[in-house]
Amino acid sequence: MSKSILIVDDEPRITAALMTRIEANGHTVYHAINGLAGIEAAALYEPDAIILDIRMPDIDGYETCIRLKRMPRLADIPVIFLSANVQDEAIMKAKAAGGARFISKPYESASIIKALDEVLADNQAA
Amino acid sequence: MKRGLTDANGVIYAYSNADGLQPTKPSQRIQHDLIVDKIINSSTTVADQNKDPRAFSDTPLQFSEGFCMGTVNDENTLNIVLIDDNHDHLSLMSATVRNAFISEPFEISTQEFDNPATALTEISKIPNQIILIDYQFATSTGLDWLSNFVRANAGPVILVTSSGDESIAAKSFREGAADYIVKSEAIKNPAIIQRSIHEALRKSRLVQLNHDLSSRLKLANYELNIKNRKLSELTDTAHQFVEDVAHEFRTPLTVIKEFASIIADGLGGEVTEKQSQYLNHITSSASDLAGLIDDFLNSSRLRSNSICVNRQQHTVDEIFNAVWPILESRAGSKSIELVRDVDSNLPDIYIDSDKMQRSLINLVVNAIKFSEQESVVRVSATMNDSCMVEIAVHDNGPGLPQQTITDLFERFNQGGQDTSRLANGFGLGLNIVKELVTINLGVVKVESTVGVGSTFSFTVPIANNQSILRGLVSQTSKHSGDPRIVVLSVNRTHDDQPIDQLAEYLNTMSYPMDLVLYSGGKSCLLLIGITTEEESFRQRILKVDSEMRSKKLSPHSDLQISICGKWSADEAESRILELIEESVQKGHYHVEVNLNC
Repeated sequence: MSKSILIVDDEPRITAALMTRIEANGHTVYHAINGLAGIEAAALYEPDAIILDIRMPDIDGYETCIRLKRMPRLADIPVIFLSANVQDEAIMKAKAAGGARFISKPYESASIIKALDEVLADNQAA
Repeated sequence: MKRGLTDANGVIYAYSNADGLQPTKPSQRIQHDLIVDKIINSSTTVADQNKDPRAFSDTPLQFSEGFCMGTVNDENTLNIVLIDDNHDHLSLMSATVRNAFISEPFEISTQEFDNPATALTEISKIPNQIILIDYQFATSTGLDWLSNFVRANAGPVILVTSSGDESIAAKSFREGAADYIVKSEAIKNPAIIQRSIHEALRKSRLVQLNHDLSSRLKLANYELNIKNRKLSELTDTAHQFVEDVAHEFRTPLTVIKEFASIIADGLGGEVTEKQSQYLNHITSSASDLAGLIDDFLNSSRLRSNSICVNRQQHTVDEIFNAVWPILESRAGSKSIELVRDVDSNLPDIYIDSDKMQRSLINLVVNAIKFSEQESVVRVSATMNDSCMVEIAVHDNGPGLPQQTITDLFERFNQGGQDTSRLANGFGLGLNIVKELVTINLGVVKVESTVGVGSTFSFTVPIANNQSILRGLVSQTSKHSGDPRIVVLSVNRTHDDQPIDQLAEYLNTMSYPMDLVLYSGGKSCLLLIGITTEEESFRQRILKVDSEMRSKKLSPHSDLQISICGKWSADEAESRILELIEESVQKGHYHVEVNLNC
């Protein structure tokens, strides 16, 4: 079933690669180039899932996620962290901020699709 | 200049009041010669001393070159301060002292005081002195004054008494006297005074030397501390640099890899078979590069102790399943057949899954690199004799000579000219395998025959406490010194979070070689570390916990950490197993210990 996915990443080529993959799987994709724009886009489109980068120019991914989770309307949208930072601390912080999954860059496209399918299914069930 | 009398054999004669000329005893003579030698050395110029090895010419600091704090002055005069309230004794001692030193190559002068208080105020004006103070005064004893003179630091102080009382001697030494002489004996034999003064001067010089050395040591320590701090800052910067570079590399690498894979998958239009093959080369090279970056990161983190370990129970198949698609695609690019040979009924293993995956990938990728096209690489998993699961990667590559195997796992050590040309990153990758396997409490082995092939294998503990502990103990005994295994128990007052989350949390904040043992218990975990100080281990954990809490990262508000014990590697396994058993009986801790494994 077609879902809407929001990508928040300051690197346009990463966004382009993700869009290509995810659209090829039949989903609609929105994107935002930083955390604050991401929160606005999330409020506007209320996507089914969010793919969130960590290192971004204004507020980082953790902060973005924390703010999203504070907004009742958006709190239940599953967030998949996608980051080049693979320190265990980052993974823990992402979890603490409310992330549902953590995928490191460079990623296998299959793992993105799998993670998306899983969080979308989980959310449906809930 | 030498004014003493010597006989034909060079024996020095000293004057004595009682007997006139008499030769000193042979043993005294030897000592005397040494002393004279020293006096001569000490009175030579600084330039001369620089050539004399006994003058510490190789040391950068200037030592006081006299016997004590400038004892021998420019005029070469040693001032001997005599303090005695009996004027007859004072004159007698003065004469005896002058007699005793008549044969010395330097001048002496005696200063006489009948009152210790006056002497104390005067001594600061007298250079190069040695103080002889009488024991018996009208209203006090020499002992009462001794410490004042010692503290004045004007020169060595010798206590003179009328009787040879040992308890006074002992007290005088405690108060800091350089020596103790009996007046009547000294007057009879001036050599006693001479010897005593020489001895006192020698001691005083040693004290000064000691003082100089300890100042130098303090200075050196201070400099070392500064250097250490700078070095550690530099290391931190270097590690941060590696982290940053790795991060910056990943983004473009992701783009390259992902678009190559998007094109290969036909998302950008139809692709010919040839094009798809070329694109696969791009993808696998990008993966190689990503792997190499991981290796660098791991290597840097291992060295900075900042690697996190999360050991959990897994099946061997889980690990194989996770890495198999990657390995197959790598083998496929060289048309190598990859055989998976995992024994059925293997027990669960207790490992950090990421680290085991990386170990396995590195070994298999290496095997593929060294294998001919269309050969076979076999990966097996079996139970070995010591209750560990052994993962082995067999190839039919060129093999390695014994000598190369020996230093194969050294950091950056390449496996010889021929092979290093074939495989980039060979040394780093293997070294990381060794370190990651160590973190997983296992060992790495290599068996190889030149021309036949190699088997690289590593072990991992199975998920029972005995196997895990045995793994840890065998790592511990490799440590130098006298390593101890420390056990802390961790409790929570509120069971607000599942215990496995607490275990994960403890794993995150502990060092790589710390071990968190738990098995579905309710309120108690064992945290085990290798250290010599159990208290510092506990402090470290608490410190990290409070840091995590300040960053609002701690899900646990009330960790209680207490020390259970500290054991040497020999006894640790059995004692910790006992401890677990005890906890089980108390109902704190639920584990299944399969002693027969």
